[in-house]
Amino acid sequence: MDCHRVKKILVPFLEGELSEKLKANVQAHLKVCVHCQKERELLSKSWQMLDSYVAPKLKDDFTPSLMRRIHSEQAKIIKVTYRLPQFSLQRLAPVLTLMLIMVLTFSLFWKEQIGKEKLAKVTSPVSREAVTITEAVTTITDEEIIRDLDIYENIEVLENMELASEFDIVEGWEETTS
Amino acid sequence: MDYFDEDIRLMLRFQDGEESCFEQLVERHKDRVFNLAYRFLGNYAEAEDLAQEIFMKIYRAKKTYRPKAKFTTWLYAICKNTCLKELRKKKPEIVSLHERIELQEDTVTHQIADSHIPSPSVSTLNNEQTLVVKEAIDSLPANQKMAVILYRYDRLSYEEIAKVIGCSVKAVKSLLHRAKINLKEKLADYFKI
Repeated sequence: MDCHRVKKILVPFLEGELSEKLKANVQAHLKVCVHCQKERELLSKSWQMLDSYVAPKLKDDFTPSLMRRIHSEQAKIIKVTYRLPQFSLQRLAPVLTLMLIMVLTFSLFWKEQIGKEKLAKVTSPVSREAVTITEAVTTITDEEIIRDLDIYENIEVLENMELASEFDIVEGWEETTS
Repeated sequence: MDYFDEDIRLMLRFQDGEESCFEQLVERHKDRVFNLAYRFLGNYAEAEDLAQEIFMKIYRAKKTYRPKAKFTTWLYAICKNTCLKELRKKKPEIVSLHERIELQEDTVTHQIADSHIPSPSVSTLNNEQTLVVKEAIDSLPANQKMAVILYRYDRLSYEEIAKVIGCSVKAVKSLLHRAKINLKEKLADYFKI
């Protein structure tokens, strides 16, 4: 067995994981090879040296400190759950704003549409007459009514006067004939 | 699954609302979790914070926990995932080769006796040696580092490591093989002195 092969199986050899035959071959090689002996020694020593790396002692208040941290985290979770509706409202603000804008736009559009419909009604011939009557009715004042009544009365008086004169003429003719 | 496992029983009781059982679980495993985090991250404050984060994950898993595997296997899997996540978050630090890396104040003075590791006497403890080993372990790729920590310090079997890391036993052996060679190369200079 050569050094390259021994180096490859030196770790399992030290772990005692080799077959008896292979183990015997490695042992035979190690007896005669100083380089591989050194290699084995280095492997063993470096592995043993790990013992010196001992972790420091943990603080005595580890468990109480951990429990405080856990309870504080739980309190935070409860707080977050309680504040959840406020959080939702905040998130809803842009949606509500958008809805408001949409309602305003729609109302403006609706108003404009109603105006157009009114104009269309006004421009039609049937409705125009109705509108003029309505306008005449709505614009007429009391003074105008009184003035118109006077005119009609005057006309009536004049007509009566004509009748009276005619009556006088007839009466005058009867007198002359009698 | 062994429902008579004390950890599983505590976890199930915790599920039923006994909060004190969770505290008992923390007490039973805090050193194990912290030591792993410390060896993986190499920083006391970060390791303590990470250990708390790991236990918080266990606390949050109260409702979803199902005793499908050994409790410690589940615990180590959470440790591994949290450590790797933390490592990914950390940006690679550029450290000058001439800069002296200082250990935490109580790293050496307050040694904790790891039940499986032969505890070295304080007199033989070499600060420099600890530093060299720390640097060598830190230089390993994350998966090799995790395999070494679990195998060397936590004394997990190949099968358990495979379950924790989520790979085959053969892959674990391969990781450890490469880690040992890398460590030998990193520590070779120390033995030449």
